Amino acid sequence: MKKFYYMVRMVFMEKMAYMKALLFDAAAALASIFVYYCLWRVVFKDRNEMQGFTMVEITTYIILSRTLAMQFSEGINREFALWIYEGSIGTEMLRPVRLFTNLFSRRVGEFLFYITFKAVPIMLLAFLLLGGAGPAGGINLLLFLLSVLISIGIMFYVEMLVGMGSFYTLTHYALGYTKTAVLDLLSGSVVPIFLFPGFIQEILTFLPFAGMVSVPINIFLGKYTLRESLMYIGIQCFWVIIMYFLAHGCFHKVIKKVVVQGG
Amino acid sequence: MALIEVENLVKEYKRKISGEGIKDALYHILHPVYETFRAVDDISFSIEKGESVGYIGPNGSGKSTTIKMLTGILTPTAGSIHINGRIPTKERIKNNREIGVVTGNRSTLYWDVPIIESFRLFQKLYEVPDNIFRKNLEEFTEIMGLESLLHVPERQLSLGQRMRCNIAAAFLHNPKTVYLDEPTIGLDSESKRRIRTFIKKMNDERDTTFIITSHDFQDIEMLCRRIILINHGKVVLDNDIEKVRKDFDQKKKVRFEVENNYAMKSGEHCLPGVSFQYIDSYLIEAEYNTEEVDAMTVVGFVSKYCPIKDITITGRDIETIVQDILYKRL
Repeated sequence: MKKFYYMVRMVFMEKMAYMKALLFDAAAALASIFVYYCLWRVVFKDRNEMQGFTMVEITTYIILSRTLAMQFSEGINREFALWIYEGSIGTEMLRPVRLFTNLFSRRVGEFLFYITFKAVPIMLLAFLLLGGAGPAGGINLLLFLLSVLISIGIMFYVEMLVGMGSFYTLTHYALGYTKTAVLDLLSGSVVPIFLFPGFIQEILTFLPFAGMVSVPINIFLGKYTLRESLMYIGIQCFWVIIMYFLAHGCFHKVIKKVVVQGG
Repeated sequence: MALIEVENLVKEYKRKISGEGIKDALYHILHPVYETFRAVDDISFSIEKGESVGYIGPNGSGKSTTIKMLTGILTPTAGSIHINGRIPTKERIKNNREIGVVTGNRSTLYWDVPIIESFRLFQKLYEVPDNIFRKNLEEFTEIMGLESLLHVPERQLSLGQRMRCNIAAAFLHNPKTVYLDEPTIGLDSESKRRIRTFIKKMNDERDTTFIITSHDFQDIEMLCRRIILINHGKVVLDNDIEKVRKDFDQKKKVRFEVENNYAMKSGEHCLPGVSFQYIDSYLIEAEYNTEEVDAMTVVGFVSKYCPIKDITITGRDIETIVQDILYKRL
C-alpha cells in the first residue's frame, strides 16, 4: 500500500511538470460544454421538457458528461501502447512491482490529477456560468461519487485491453482514437442514452460503458430510484469483475509474445 | 549451483518479410510471409557469484536478446535459465528485486521529476532500509559526482549525467547481479572513466556479479576477468581474459627507430622466428613469435648492426584478438 502511494505520488509529480498545458485543456473543455449548451438551447426553444428532462437538468447533464468524458481521450492505454511502441516496456517489466499494479497506480494518479486540476475547477466554472440543476439529494451526490469511482475500474481495464491491442498492431495511437470514439458514443456522453431507440437504450444501459457517464449523471439528477441506482452500481461492479478476468487472461497470453522493439 | 545457469538457450523471432517497394508491400498484406530468425542459437554458460563477465560480440549477434532473457523480459523459445535457482520469466518480480539493469539507450528514471525523487521511489519499491539507502546514496554521489544533479529533472541532464544517475539507481538496492547493456555508449572519456571506476569498486568491495556487453574494449579490459564471445547467436569463446591474451597473443611487434638501417638492410640478416620490415631508412619493424624468440634477443640482434635510438614493443590488445577470432578463423 505504501509502495502504491509513492507510485501514485510520482505520477502526480510528473503531471505537475506540465501545468501550462492544463489551461488549454480547460479552455477546450469549457468551449465544448458551451457548444453543446447552445445546441440544446435550440432543441428546447419551443418546449419545456424532453423525456422528463428540463433545460436546467440538461445543462447539468452537459457539464457533467463533457467533464467526465475528458478522461476518454487520456487513460493509460496511451502510455502502455507507447511503452510497447518505443520498447520501454522492457524497462517497466524490470521494476519490482507487477506491471498491472504499476499501470493501475499510474491510472489512479492520473485520475486524482484530473479530479483536482481539471474536473472540479471546470465543473464549478461551468455551473457558475451556465447554471444547471444541483444534485437531487445528499444520497444522490454520494452515490454519484461512488459510481464515478467504480467507473475508474471499468475504464482501467478497457484501457488495458486497448493497450494490449498494441502488442499486435505495434502502433500507439490508432486504437486509442477508436477507444475514444466508441466510449464517447456508448457511454452517453455525446448523445444521452435516453435519446436512442428503445431496444438500443436497453442494451446500452446494461453494457459497461453507460457506467462511465450516463449512470452517474442519472443518479446525480435523481432520475433513478434508490433501488435502480443500487442496481446500476451493482452492474458496474459486475463489469469491473468481468473485465478484471478478461484483462488478466489476455495479459498472460500477451506477455509471452513481448517483443522489445529497438534493440 | 552457480548463480546464473544457462543451458541450451534458444530464441527465435518471427519476422514478417515485407519485400521491396510498394507493390510488394501491398502483396504481402494479403499474403503475409514470415521467416524465423534465430537470434540466440543454443547458448550455455554458467556464472558464479562475484564474477565479472564481458559478454561481447558484433552488432546483432544476440547479446541484448540474451540479456533480456536473463532478466525475464523475453521468454526463451527453448532451453533453460536459472538465476539464483529461479526461472526469471516465472518469478520475474522476485528476480527483479535482486538484480539491477542498466541499458545504454534507455533510462529507468522518471523523465519529468528531479533525480532524487526517482531514487526515493526506488527505495520504497525495493524496500531499502533508510540507513542503507542514505549510505549508498552518499557513496555513489561522491564516486560519480552526482551532487549537482540530484535536484534536476532527468530531462535537463546530458547523456553522460543521465547515465551516471541510471547506474547509481541500479545499485541502490544492493543487487546481487547487475546487467550492463552497453553502459558507456556515446559517453565522453571522463564519464566513461567515472563509470568504470564505480563498477570496478562495486565488484571488488561488494562482490556484485556483473555481465557487461560493450563495444568499447577498454570497458571489457578494465572491468572483466572473463569474456564470453558470441557471434550469430552461438558461443565462440568463453574463457579467462588473461588466458585468451596468452593463447592468442603470440605475435608481438618491435619498432626500432635507428640512425640508419643501411647496414642491416643491405646485409639481409635474418633471425629465425622474426620477420623484419624496413619502413624507411630510419625505421625497422620486427614481428616475432613469443614462443620462439624473446624480445631481448631481437633487440640484441638489431643493435649489432645499427645504433638504436628508440624502441616500442606492442602486443595485440583484446580488441584485435577478438577481431581475429571472429573474422579470420570463422
